[in-house]
Amino acid sequence: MRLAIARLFQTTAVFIATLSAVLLCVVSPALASDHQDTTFLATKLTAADLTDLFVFEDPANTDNVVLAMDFDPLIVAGEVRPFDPSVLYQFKIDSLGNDGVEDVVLQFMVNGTGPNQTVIVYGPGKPNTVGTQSTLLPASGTSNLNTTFTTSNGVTTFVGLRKDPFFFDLSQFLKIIPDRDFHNQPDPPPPFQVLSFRPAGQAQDTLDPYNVHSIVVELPKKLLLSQGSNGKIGVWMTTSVKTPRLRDGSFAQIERLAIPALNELFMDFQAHNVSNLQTPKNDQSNQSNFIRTFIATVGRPKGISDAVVAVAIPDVIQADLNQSTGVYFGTQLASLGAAPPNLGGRRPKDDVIDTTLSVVFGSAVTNITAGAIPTLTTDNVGPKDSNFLSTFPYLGNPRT
Amino acid sequence: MYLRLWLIVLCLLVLPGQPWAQALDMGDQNNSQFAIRNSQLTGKSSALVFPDYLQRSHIINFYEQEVHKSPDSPLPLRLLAAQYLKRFRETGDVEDLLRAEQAARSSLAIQPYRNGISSMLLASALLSQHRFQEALDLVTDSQRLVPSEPSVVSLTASIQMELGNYEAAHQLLQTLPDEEGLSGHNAVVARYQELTGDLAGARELLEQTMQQMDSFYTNSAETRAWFHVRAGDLAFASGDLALSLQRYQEALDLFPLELAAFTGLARLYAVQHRWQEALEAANQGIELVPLVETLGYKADAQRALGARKGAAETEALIEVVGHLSQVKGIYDRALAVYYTEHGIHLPEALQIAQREVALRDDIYAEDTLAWAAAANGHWQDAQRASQQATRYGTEDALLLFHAGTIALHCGDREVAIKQLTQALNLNPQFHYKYADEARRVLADLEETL
Repeated sequence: MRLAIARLFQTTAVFIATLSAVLLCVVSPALASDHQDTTFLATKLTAADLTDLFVFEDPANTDNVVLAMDFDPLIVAGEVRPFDPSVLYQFKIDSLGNDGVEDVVLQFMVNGTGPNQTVIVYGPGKPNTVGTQSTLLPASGTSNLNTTFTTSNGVTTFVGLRKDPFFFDLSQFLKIIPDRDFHNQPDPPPPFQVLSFRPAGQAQDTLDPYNVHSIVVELPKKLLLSQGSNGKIGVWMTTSVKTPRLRDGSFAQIERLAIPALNELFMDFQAHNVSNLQTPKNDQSNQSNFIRTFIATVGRPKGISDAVVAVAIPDVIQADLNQSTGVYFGTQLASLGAAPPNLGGRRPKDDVIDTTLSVVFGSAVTNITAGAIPTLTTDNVGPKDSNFLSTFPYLGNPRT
Repeated sequence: MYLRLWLIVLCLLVLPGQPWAQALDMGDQNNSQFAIRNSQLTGKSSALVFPDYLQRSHIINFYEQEVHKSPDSPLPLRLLAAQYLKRFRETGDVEDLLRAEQAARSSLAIQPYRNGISSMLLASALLSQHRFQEALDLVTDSQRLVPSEPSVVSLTASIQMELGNYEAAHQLLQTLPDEEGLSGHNAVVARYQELTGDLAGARELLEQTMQQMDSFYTNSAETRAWFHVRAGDLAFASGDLALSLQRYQEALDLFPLELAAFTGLARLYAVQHRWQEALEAANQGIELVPLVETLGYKADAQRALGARKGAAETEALIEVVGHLSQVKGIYDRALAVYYTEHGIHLPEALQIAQREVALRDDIYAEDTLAWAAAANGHWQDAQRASQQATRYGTEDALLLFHAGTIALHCGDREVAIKQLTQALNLNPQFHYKYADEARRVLADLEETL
């Protein structure tokens, strides 16, 4: 009874506590690159919360390409978190016309509950429907989680827990830009009261302690190309769930993501859900505005926003599969004549934050120096080799 | 003297002073009496639900260490606050509520802007402590939160409902987008419908939302259980006792320590005069947290089973709880309801009810005041409060019984017949003694026609 007595101050607040907590649960939006995007995803279904997409060359086989998606962030060391069997995970590949419409999809669902969950791979193949509704392709393989296996059509696959590969000094970033949206509110302090990241040695990787759920595939490049393709692709990822609204049983998209930090750095938080429910086709009109507004707000010339829009819109990771190696944004830069042809894509160790910062606050790519803030061009956090593997699945072993 | 001694002892137990200091030195807390242990749980199967609560203290330990490592980072504090709130709901440890408040405040101190979630976490912690106006002030601070964000709208609306500002809540809920997946928002909308005369609509929405929550295996066990309890409550309000029983049992399958399910079961068995089962359900709830309401069902069951001494001891405990609540500034309406229903401490019941109305003038505060005033013979006050309590057409049989009884005493026979009839139509077994009394009164009224 003593135990119960010690809880006497639990009052009728139980009802309202839970009601309000249903609205909250675990929420921490705006954790770049896209960790915990939108309140819905963070409160209701973290399993569908996409964080990072990688597209890169197979270091051992130039005929292959690697795709990796991370989701369900902030898993602490030692925490057991299951996969959700209701979520459809998809890589979507635009391999024809650079039109933001998927020509090939590769789908994944987890089967079962409890400790013996398995994963089923569907495709890759031409989607039954394009856009924000999806149905499953024929299955090509199944296996237990946290093991590497190969599907019947030659897709080496890993689905399981990994060390979160993203690295960023988010805490300092939030001191620099406490509220991107300060124009819309009465009195918040304007950004840039703090004008530098922490120096190397003091800078901290906010995501260093955390694990994440990952899907990694290594497959022949030809499986991602359609007839008539010139070898250049755009890749994005989505999560979808079934909904009573779609009576035919198809899945409805609830999030999409590709380029890291695009949403988090430039976009108003309220706009994330709108973007999540769209396809890349609308990015030119939607996301470009956020980029231009942000860059004007921080006092950089229009040439900077032109450059960012040119490489980051539509929100897909572009890769030239005719090439064997690449650098981040390399495909777009090659198209603009600013780099030799290369695969482009994004590797787990690419310092995408520094790349983005050096364009937005520095003179990288544009050579524009007006309004530059050199102390903001790097967060002084780089990739730790111990967080990565040199062979498949490339993402490092989880923290234990 | 006995009570005063208890009061001092219990205050020492539950008011250690500096929760945040403890939160930063939690080595023993996570192994304390409040941590959920596997041995306490008898959930049906991990195939039904993921028992996330078993890892809560581990996760909290982790975030506490992160706060130690990066004391000037708002993120671990925010995540820690959220986990404290979760554990509060899972274990009922009010210290976690205070820890959550402190962690959220610390996060906001470091990052005052673009930290809306910390503001909402703080508001939630305040709300749970019945600090309604502080919570409302926080969520309506447009410098901290985006007023149009659906979660802010829903939280603000739920606070307004707690304060009895139903028009304001309605206006807010009208602005919610028609989006899929708004389970939390649907719960708030259903609560509004329930309170404002659309019980059927509330049931339909809540059942749908409960099924939606259940469709995702990874949703929090306690949250899923809570939706089942709410569905059980609404089924009870509608007189569907079989479904109500099923929903409460499902809640306990999902989360075996779901306090509200035990309270609901105790009420459900009591109205059916299944006193032994009522006693067992009440005991299980009381073992978790001795709520006045659950203690009341226990005392009633003991009395019905002839355990007079036990009933007297339970009643004494109710009084201790009531005093402790008042020490904390919480005027627990459940205490006033118990006193009134049992004809004891009637002046005190009226005082509690009056204070409650002053704090938050919602439908149930007015109903409690009406019934307590009636019990004290203040019939005009009772009628005034009763009219306030029923002004939104709330389909709650007990509330209608109170209103009908008061109307009859005040000479409004037609209103009395209408309200008592409606009460019985809604739920023929709404209360273990008042349902029969309503039938008797109606029969008497018919005889005198």
